[in-house]
Amino acid sequence: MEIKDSHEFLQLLLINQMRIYAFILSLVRNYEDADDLMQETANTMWQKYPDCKPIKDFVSWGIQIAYYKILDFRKHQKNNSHILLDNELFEKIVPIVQQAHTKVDSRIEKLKKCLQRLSEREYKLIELRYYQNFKPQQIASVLGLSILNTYKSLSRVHGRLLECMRQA
Amino acid sequence: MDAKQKQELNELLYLTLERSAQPWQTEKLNAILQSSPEALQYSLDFYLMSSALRKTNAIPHAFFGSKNEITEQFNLLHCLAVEERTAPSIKLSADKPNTHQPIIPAQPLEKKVRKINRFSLAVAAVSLAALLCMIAYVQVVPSREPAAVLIDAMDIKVKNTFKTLKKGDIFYNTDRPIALEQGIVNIQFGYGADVIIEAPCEFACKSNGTLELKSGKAFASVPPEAIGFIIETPSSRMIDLGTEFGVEVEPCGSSSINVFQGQTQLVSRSPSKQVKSVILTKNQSRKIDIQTGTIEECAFHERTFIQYFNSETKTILTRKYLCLADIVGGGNGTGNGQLNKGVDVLTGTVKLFTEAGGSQPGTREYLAVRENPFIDGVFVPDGGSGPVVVSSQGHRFENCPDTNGQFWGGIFNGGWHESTVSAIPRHPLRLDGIVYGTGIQPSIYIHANQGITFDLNALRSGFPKLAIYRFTALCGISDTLSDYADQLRAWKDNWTNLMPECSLADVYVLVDGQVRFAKKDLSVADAAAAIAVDIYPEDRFLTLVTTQGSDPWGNTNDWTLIAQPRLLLTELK
Repeated sequence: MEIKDSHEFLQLLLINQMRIYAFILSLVRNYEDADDLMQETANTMWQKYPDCKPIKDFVSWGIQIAYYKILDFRKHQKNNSHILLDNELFEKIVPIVQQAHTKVDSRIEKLKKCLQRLSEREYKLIELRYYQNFKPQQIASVLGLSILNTYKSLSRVHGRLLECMRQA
Repeated sequence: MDAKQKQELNELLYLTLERSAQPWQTEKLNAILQSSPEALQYSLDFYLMSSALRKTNAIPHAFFGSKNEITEQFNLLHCLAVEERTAPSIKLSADKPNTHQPIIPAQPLEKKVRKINRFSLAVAAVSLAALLCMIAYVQVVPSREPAAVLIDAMDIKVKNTFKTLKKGDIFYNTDRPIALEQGIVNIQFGYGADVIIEAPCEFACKSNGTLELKSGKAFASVPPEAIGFIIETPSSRMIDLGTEFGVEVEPCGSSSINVFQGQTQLVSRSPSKQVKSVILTKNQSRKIDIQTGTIEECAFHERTFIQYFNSETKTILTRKYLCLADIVGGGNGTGNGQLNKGVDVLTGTVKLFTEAGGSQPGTREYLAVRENPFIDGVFVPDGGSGPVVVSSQGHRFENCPDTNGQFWGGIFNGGWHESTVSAIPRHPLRLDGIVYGTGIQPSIYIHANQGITFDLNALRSGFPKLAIYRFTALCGISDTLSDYADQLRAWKDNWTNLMPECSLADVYVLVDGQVRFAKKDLSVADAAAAIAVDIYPEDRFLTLVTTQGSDPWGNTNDWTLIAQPRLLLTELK
């Protein structure tokens, strides 16, 4: 890939990766696998980019590639079926999330405001988890909390944020 | 859904998100989503929000809106810890198959190998003071984002892992540092900086515009849009101001910088916390001691860093030019050619020049050179009967001077002359006192009257990311002609008046048959003439020609050298 193309691709990926990631996360439901699949998707997109450009809808294109990655992932995760969406639910969700994430969602902007509305204590949990990239176990360790309480607190904060974000 | 159901759904969704849900919890989540469209929509919103938290700058945007002092964090985290310890325990949902099953799994699930536990144990051992330091350190770490992409990799071996890197791999800002035992990687950062890193090395792409180099060598080419690109080392920070620069970090952490183009600001990490900073310009070099933080001048080395490589063609450049003498010697311009190898202008064949020949008449034909893909052809210029063909595509040198149609030797990578007829021993040739025709000071020996044409497109194909933008060289008649004045005068009775400076030669540089440089009647008394010819993407053939000058002795003693013949390269935009 020429330098101009790779620069252009990185910029497009930076702008749009969240929506592709949201599609993946909706279907695999956990960060670890979503991170790996996002990376694989990005790699494939990078390799195909010179032949596919100009790309009319970068997100739809990324979602299409991600979809096949997810199918492949599900095929290889049969022994770990308890973490997967069951097939019926998967088939039901795919078209919904495909449609949902190809559109720009104004609620993301709202999330920034919702973050500011959190109490300092709630905000710190979110900051440790996402901004400083601590795992829940690490947060529990550095704060001297039980893992149970840490998970509970984090799920509560997520719930608060979601409620706020959904109040359009 | 009521509040209780939402709370339960939040817990199940979050546990799944962190891959910490028990199988029965996953099953329960599936059942809820299957039976309730409202819950399904809620879950999709949950994943959208979680993606935004993980993949956007929503947090730092909100975070930087308010002042956040480290001491505040300390107090807050302390309060948080106390609160959580004293908070009432949360009752688990009653609607579960086994009331004794905890929400958090007692046993680890089958999952990928991660370093959580080890890290967790280590972190648990640190004091609150250490926590404070850690918070201060990670303060500037953003959420996980792509920082750079692997453009190319050659012969690499990643340390302590079977995992390898391949073209197109994305480097994230939160990735652990990568240690390479061997090989070279070319990484492009989001803002456009292009960096080549050589093993052994350890590095991390910290952001769109920052490389952390813990050890090893890196060469950065920074286009204008990426000005401000930073390389951080244990002992220094290099901030690009629009340039090309190389950084080497020793295993102890001391570092050195060589600036090849433009300007770079160097800031040392002084142990005394006294900031030392200096701006470096082209061909300047400095060394930074990790113990003292002192910045010292050191010798600039042009070829210390790999500046370009291509894993497909297996080419490596430690400089941004191709040497035409090397190409004449059968190389690809990077130094793998053979000294004294060249082309016979009578036949167009490649040969090793080991013995002196005499002056002899050439053909009037343009001869293709089939054994060297980068040389289109050779010829003996003689414009006496019209234009001379200078390429396989029929380009013509319209005003080629009239010559005697004779040449000496051939065209080869080197610089020596001898003559049995004039009793001149074999000796190395010089321009302005410098001996050329060596590996360090390469030259093409092209005694008049001869011409050689290079195929620029063939050269371009070997370096697809680079553009040829200029041809530079020095040309002249060897100084050594003066050393043998007596032998020359004794050569023939009627040449007693032949003084070395009377031997004149012309040098021409043509592009696609058009003269872009001409230096007529060069003599041994002249200083070497500098050639600088711009090359454009549409240019196909570069031709070098020497012809006898206006002196009455034809091509006799026209010991013409083209020294340091370089095709300058730049990144293809």
